[in-house]
Amino acid sequence: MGLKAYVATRAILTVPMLVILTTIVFLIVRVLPGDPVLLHFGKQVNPQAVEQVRHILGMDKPIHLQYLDYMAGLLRGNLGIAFSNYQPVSEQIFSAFPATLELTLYSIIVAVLVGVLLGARASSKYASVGDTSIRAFGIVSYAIPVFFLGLILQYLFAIYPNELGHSLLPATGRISAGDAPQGGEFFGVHLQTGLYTVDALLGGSLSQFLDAARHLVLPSLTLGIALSGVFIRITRSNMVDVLGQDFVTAARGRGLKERTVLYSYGLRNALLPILTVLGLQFAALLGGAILTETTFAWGGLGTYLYRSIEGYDYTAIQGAVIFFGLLVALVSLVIDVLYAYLDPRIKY
Amino acid sequence: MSLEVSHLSVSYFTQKGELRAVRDASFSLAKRETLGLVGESGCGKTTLGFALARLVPRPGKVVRGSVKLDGKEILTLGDKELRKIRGREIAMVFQDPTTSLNPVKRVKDHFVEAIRAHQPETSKEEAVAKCRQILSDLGVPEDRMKDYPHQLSGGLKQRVMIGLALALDPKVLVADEPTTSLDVIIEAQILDLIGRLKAKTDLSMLLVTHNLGVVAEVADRIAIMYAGEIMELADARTIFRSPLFPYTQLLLKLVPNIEAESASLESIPGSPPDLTKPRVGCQFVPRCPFAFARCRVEAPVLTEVEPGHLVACHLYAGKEK
Repeated sequence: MGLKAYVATRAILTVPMLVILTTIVFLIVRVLPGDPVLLHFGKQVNPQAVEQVRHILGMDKPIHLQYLDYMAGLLRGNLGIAFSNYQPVSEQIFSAFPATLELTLYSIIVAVLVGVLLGARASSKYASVGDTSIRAFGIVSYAIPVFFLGLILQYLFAIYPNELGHSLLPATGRISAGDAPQGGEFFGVHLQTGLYTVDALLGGSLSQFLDAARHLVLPSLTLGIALSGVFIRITRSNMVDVLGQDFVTAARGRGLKERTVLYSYGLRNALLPILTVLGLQFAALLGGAILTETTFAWGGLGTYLYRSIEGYDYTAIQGAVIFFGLLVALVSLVIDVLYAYLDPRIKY
Repeated sequence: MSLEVSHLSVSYFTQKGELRAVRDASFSLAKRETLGLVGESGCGKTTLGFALARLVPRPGKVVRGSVKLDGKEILTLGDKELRKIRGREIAMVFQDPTTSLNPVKRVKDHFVEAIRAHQPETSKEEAVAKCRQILSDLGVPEDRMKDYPHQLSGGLKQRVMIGLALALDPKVLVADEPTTSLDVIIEAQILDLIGRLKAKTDLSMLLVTHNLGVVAEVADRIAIMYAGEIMELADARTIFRSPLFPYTQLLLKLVPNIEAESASLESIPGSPPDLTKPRVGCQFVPRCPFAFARCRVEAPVLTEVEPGHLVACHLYAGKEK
């Protein structure tokens, strides 16, 4: 079929997926009890004003017309106006997303480094004390509530040192007081990504970079360690499988170094399932890690979605879910394409 | 003398207890010699082959004995020394070529990697050139070098495996059922190939197989294994003409003869013993038509009863040379 045709097919298949997703979310938020318009007015309700707001938001129309209106807007790339503050939903999502993306990237790096390296190590020491300890760590890190881990790390590395008069790491937020990094010239174009570490480097400010990085340490360690358990398990079990295969014994029989056997034969052939889990976790994190964001006052998509649900903000919820659906489709497509690069037996 | 194995015992420590896969095996392999190691499935022949390069997989362990290559003990070598021996002095060819190559590596990268692991001073280009030379000697078309293993047929893969095993001119080749998974035509080609390669070098070979036809064609001497022990050892002609051990005799009777009157396939009644519970005395007793009282209480020892013909059987007691 060829790679291009495969990607095109997958992109086209995303459309019905999004239509179904949108329809389900559209219906569910309306089935739930509660009225977003009434919520705005509090106890003093002026029926005329309520009708006026309903009209502005299009809520006075029958539900099937509301649906058609919304779908028509989507076709033009318009996610609608948020009920809570009358801002365009797409703008709100794009301003919340970089925080989530930055946290996701660093957390995944931590999770993969810790998880895959420990998992590989455990498989090479199969059934030994080292293997058992690594597995135990994996289970604990998987089971521990992420906010609890976050609070402990916060206390140990931010609050407690602070009480002793050392400022080791900041406990919350993305940057210290002051302006966010503004990005900079990149091949002649002004670029601002919203990822503070990247923007600081683009702007050439090392102090801003270090500041953003210091703020990232605790939340990304928290999320990364919490996720590493999954990677430890998937890496270990797949590598135990691969390391028992003939070609591994054959490689040892050719006198290759144990490190080569372990990584270039073992891990290399166990990568596919690891990549699958990586894609799923990455996509899930992009939807916003609500608990971590709350613990560290991070303010990304997770917080946005949480506030929208709390405020019965139909369009904001719909917008966030559709955006998330798109990200999941995109990430899984990228993962599928990567399969073909990792395994010569897979062809599109 | 090239390879000297004495009193080698290998066990798998499983949850059901110690499985004694190889017990007290002793034999030698001279320069240029081909020794056929024959036995039925599960008799420990593959384990014995693996043990020579200390490749017995977990939970297997060499519990006793010695393997000396040109006087150097292999079983006590450190990891680094062992790596130098593997591939360079003792090389292996496995039973199933379809699973013996790394699926994500091109054929030539297997060679480059193996050659450079032992000769780091070799450049990548030199290694590729050597790979090309080896493969063309083996009749593998040059353009297949760039292929991945899944793009090769079983026969080609086994040629590649043989090429890989011989890339560093080892002294000993342990070939574990190298043709079992191939069809008869490819089998004949591969055996012919091994024969021609051996004629050109000083290579010694331990050929592990259950196929009597294969050993008849290739082996100089034959060792018959039963339930983890070597029961008979002699040159190939003697084994086929005048076998002494009852199991060997029965085995040879089983080779189907197309001109024979009986059309049915024969078998040796009974089944091989459970290696986790070795019996007292000779392991073959339950299936042996000649077993007598002594066989049940005393394990026979491999003894030379004629020049160059060793057998572990009480029937020949008193005939020791």
